[in-house]
Amino acid sequence: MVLQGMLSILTPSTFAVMFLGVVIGIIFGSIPGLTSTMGVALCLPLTFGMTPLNGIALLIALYVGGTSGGLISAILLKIPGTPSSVATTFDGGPMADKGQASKALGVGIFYSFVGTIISIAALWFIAPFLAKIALKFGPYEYFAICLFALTTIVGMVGDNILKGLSSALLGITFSLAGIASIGGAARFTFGIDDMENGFALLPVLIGLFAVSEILSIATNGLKKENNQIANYKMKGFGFSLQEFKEQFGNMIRSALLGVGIGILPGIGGATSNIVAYSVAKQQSKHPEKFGTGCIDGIIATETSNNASIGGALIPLLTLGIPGDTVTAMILGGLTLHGIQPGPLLFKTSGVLVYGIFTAFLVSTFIMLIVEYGGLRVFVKILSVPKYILLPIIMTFCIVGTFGTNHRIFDVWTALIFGVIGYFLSRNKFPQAPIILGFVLGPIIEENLLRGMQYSNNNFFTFFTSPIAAVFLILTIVVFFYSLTKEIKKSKKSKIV
Amino acid sequence: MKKNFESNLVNLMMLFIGIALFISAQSIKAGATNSLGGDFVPKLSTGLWVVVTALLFFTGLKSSASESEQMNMMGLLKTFVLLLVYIALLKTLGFIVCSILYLGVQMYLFLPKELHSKKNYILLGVIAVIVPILTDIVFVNVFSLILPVSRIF
Repeated sequence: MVLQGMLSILTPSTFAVMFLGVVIGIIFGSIPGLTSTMGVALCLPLTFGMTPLNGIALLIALYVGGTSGGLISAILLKIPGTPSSVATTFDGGPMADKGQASKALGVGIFYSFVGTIISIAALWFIAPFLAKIALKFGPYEYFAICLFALTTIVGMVGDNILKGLSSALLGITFSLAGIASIGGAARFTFGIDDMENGFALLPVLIGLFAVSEILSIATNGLKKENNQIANYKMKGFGFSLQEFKEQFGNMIRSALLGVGIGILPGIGGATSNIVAYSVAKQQSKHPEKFGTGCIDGIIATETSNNASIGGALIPLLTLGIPGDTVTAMILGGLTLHGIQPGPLLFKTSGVLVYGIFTAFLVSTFIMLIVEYGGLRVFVKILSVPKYILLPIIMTFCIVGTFGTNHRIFDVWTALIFGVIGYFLSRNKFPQAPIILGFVLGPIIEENLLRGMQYSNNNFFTFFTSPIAAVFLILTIVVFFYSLTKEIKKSKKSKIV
Repeated sequence: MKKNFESNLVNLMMLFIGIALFISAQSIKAGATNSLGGDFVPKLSTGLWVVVTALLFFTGLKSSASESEQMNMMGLLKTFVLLLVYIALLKTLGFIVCSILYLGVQMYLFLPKELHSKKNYILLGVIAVIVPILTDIVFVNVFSLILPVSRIF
């Protein structure tokens, strides 16, 4: 099965879509303001006409390219292309100032590659083992894990727990629109026929991530871009074998942090790069060099953010629970092709699973070659003005939203969620809980109702399952921890 | 616009939307089930929504006002109306014509003041025409997607 899966991607068409995915991913990752989430959302409809494996390979290649691409602008422009490469600017920028941009780029690209490879190894070994355990999960466990996932996101993202909660509740409530899966009741349809099917995931995502960005630019306006791109001339990866040996511990620690944080819901590469950077600085023999242009910082951030990719795919493939917004969209891609991720996937579609693993591995090699070899082209794209780029992206949004179900209603949905997303993000409501609430809402509802049926309407029976009990208790702990942290912070700010 | 005023207004809107959805959720029927029905979670989530946004609104009122923030309301409205017209005309004019018009106007709106020149207008015009045609060719023929076709042309 493993070999069959690995061989299944050895076709020219799969290689072509992976190449395309990596290139588009790097472009979206490298241009500040565009994210890999947006790239995956826009490319999701393209997977329609593809085989399931090609479709998912494209999305994973986009994820790999998008996460790594952020380092290009982080080093050359000192503006992180994605939230995953924020900490890359701390040392990448100063290195570019010292005339070492090519070394910073070489180190960043190489350790992005290493981080992804380590996370693939984790995915390959942890996922099948976790899937075996998850086979025994019922509604109690699924309900508890999803609730925990959502609570973690609410607690960890943003700086106001009430805003995080509001975002999550908004996502859950909008996900419930349409005909109920249990009982068949019509909900929030307001007499509109199209509302009976509810809001589709893709228009919601495109609205929140792309349309809201267009509206934001419309409000803030654009100025003539005078980005100073640092000079660079690539020659090898820019570091010696001695430096590689010295940084080995930093690399392994950052990769493990990345994988671990990636598995946790809602806090992927955007958090892991900063955590890994802080830990590397703490553990370093020369912490004073951090921020002045040393490779240690770049290695920590670029290894960890890419290692989060494999981590985030573990709960998605084994439990069907997405860890972040990109994996939420990959979940959308899987369901578009009639594939239900979860523990059974490993039994029923083992060839596809190992095909996806291999596609992930091959995409990483493509990323290394394309990002290194095509750097000059990506830097050229960085200078395409936003007043041209963003309207073109908007037309792609129309293609994506209409192309999914051929309904103008979906295009309106994208606009409505674009307006909602614009006003919410302008007022610091985090977007990740909206998406995760929207994706996890129906799963939470279905498993809660099923669980209540099994338990004769006694919720405390949920605690008889040890796994469910652990996650429900963790949910309560995380919630109250976040709440007390918030109260302490607001008291502190009042004193100041 | 004062940032604090805007923030309070958004919180209040969230509260009103929550109340409206909570009222709407009361009319949802449980459906065919002998346990909790399809009405339970909508009632619960909208109820919680009302409580949380009410808390958010009242805590927001107490927090101190922050500095003013520039907001180009006209720019936002122009783009919003442009998007409304774009989507409304999609089925009538089709993807290509609508997108040519949209791209032309939107790029013009986004163009920084210091870059307004005849040369740039021509460049934007050419891009506005070429991109939708190429997009239609690639997505329809290569990726087998269906895009809105004009009823008129």
